[in-house]
Order: sequence, then structure tokens, then C-alpha cells
Amino acid sequence: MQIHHGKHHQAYITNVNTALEGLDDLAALSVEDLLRNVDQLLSIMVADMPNHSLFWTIMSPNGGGNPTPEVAAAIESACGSLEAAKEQFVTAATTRFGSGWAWVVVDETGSIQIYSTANQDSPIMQGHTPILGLDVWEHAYYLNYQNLRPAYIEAWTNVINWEEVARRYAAAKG
Amino acid sequence: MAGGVTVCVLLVSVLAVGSSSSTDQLLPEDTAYEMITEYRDNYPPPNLPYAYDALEPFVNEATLKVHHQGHHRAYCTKMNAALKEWRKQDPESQLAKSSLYDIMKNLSGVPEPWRTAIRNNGGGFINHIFYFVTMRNKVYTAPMGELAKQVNATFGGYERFMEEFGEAARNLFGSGYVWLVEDEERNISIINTANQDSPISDGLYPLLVLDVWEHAYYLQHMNRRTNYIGKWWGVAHWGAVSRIQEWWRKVRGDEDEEDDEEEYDWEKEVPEEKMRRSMIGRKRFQRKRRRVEVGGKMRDKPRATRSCNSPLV
Repeated sequence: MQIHHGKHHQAYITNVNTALEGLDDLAALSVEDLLRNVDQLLSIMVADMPNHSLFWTIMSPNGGGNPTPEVAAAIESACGSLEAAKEQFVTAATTRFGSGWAWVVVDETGSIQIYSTANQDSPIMQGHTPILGLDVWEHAYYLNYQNLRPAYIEAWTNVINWEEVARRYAAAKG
Repeated sequence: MAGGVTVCVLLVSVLAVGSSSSTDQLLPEDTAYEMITEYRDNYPPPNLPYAYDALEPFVNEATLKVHHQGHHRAYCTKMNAALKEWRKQDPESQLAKSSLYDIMKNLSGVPEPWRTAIRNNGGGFINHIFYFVTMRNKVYTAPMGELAKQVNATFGGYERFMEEFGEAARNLFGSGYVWLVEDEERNISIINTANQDSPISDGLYPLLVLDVWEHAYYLQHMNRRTNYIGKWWGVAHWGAVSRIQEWWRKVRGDEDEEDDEEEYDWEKEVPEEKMRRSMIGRKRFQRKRRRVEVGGKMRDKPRATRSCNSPLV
């Protein structure tokens, strides 16, 4: 966790700040340079940071257990049951090949969807609002679990901060 | 002074070991990639051509163990399962009965759901073979012979090549590989692939490869991919790269008619002038002592306060 937050997240923020500092010189850059930097900068600003910022908030040492009633109802109406939803989430997280995230989101119709994205792609890019996210980049679990991603996913369900998820759900709906 | 002593010690060990190495001692594991051009019912997971601690201190034992026994083996198992399933469900398919190389070259001809499984796991199987066999300790760590000429002509020298390759490796976002590849016309270039995609699927011939999935370096370096890249140069096995290049040319029927005048013993120890070259990778890595001012004097910064030098327990 220390490395994940202290190093990776910090690196993303530092990169954004560095890139922002260079904004004054935008006019001096060639088109190719601009595109190259903007692409990476955009990807970091749009996704790396918000993804990790969300991630920290939806975990808690007192987490685990079941979703709050409102969120549970929404999940059940989308997936049939909490068990089915959990299975769907675990499958999405396990089968995301390479780096990425698994998400529970509120989509444009207000319903719950569960899926994974690649690298730092965010559901926000599709107009969805993430209410829960799990980082399945190897850096998120390698020191503790090495290649055993399923064990990480299972253990992680014990630290989900369902109050925060409920708060985000209410905000997404309201 | 210490540097000179180190070079002398290395040189002595080089000369001592040099006499015992020769191409006679090429292990089957060194040429494990050759099986991809054969049809197999089941491709066996190859062993490493060296012990798990043989690449210390450049790539550590813990990393190699998990990488080889965990990741590579899993790709092998899943690939074999996917191939078996495809061959069973699609007995008419000629492609299914071809070699892994032909399959990877013609991935679009593989029907789903097996295409993704074979692309990812077949790719994982092959990519890791090339990665493991192109690493070795205390051998040529600079290109030689024709490859050296190509590197000079294409990149303007080995140092420039290292810069470009290293930059590609640093900038690769997410999981993937950086490759030195050759094409049908014998042009070499540096390319990236994402996840477990293989250059073979793009009609290219992989020579040297660096795995930049986080699993390749996280236990040893954590998030410091740049450190990993710097250390890896110290074990980049250019002899294997030349051997692989020769083999690919044979596979595609592009062999030179006459043998090269200079016969290289790819596994042999490095002569002195090449050894200096091989120090580049190692020197780049040497850790600088951090100094802080304490009571008016410069002292080594105490270890505990340096940012993250040891893995968390």
C-alpha cells in the first residue's frame, strides 16, 4: 500500500504537475511533441489520478461485509443476486489481461454495471460513474501475492468500504 | 581505484571461466525457441538454461522463480489447453494442425473463442522463452559481428541503441515488451508490443526482448522500472541474440550461402576489450551514495531514511 500510494500515485501527480508547468511553453512545441505530451498528460489527468483517488476512499480497515441496502437493491436488480454480482466482479477482475481495473459503475440509465477496463482507462470515459473500483495492475498485489491475483481479489473484498460506495452511489443517482 | 580492482577481479573470473565454455555446452534449454516451428500435441514448459540465482545481482532469484514457475508455466498450461480444445472442436482446420509459429503468424485464421486464448497464452509462452534465453551472466553484453554492424548502421552505435531501447521500455504504458526485431529484408528495429502480443504476429522476427510487465521487476525493484532496465543491460546476452538471428534466417530460408569468416562462440566469455563495453550496463546501475550534511560534515545518508530501498515485509 505504501508503495502504491507513496510511489505510484505520487509519480502520477508529479508528472501532471511537471506537465502543467510546461504548459506556458506550449506555443514553442512542435505538433508532434504536443500530441505526444498531451496524450500522456490527458491519460494521466483523466484517469490515473482519479482512479487511484477513488481506490483509496473505497477501502477501509473496518470494511468488508455486505453493501448497504440501497446499493444492494440496485446491484440485485442489475445482476439478479449479490452472489451473481460478486461472481461477475471477480471474473471481470481475474480475466482482465495485462493491466487494468475492475469496476462497479452507475451507467447513463442509472443502472449498475460491472466490467473491467484496460490500463488506466476509466468508466468516466464512457459516461459512466464508478462507485467501486479494484486496481488489478500487478503493482497492486505483487509484493503480497505475486502471480496469485485471485487470492488478492478474494482478500480485497474484506476491505471494501461500503459506506463510501453508498455515498458515491447516492451522488451518482442524485 | 576500487573500480579498477573490480574490473581486474571480473577479468580474472572471465579468463578462468572462459576456457570451460564452448558451443559444445549449449543446452537444449538455450534453444528452447526452436520447438515453436514444430507441431506438438503438447508444448513442454522449458527449463531455464541457468540456475535461478545465476543472474544475480542483475535479476534476482525470487523474481526468476516466480516469473518462470508461476507466470511462464501458467501461460504454457493455458496455451496447451486452448490448442487441445481448438483441435478437438475444429478437426478440419489445417491451421490447428500447424506449428505454434504458423498459428501465431496467422492469428486471424484462428476462430474465437480460441483466438484470444492463443494470442494471450501462446504469446506469453513464446515471449518468455525469448526473454529468458537472451539473458546470461558474464557473457557478451554487446553485439558482435554482423549484428554489431547492423546496430551501428541503424542506430549509430550501441550506446545510442541502448538509449533508444531504454526509452521505449520506460515509456511503455501498462504491460508489454520491448523488442529488437529483424524483418524479411534484414532491417532491424525497436518495437513495442502490448500485453503478450508477439512480433511474430506482425511478420517480424524477434531477436532481443525486455519484459516490462510489472511482474518482471516488482519484487526486486518495485515501481522503479528504470532501475530494472539499467540492471538488465548487464545480462543482455548478445551471443544468444546472434544465434537466434541466424536461426530465424534459416527458418525463413534466408541463409548466407557461405559461412561467415569469423566463427563466434556465442557462449564464450568476453575478451577484454568487449568486457569494458559490458561494464556499461553495470556501471549505469551503480548506486550513488546519498550524502547529507550532518554537523557541518558530509555523511552518508542513513539507510532507513532513504526512499524505499528494501522491499516491505
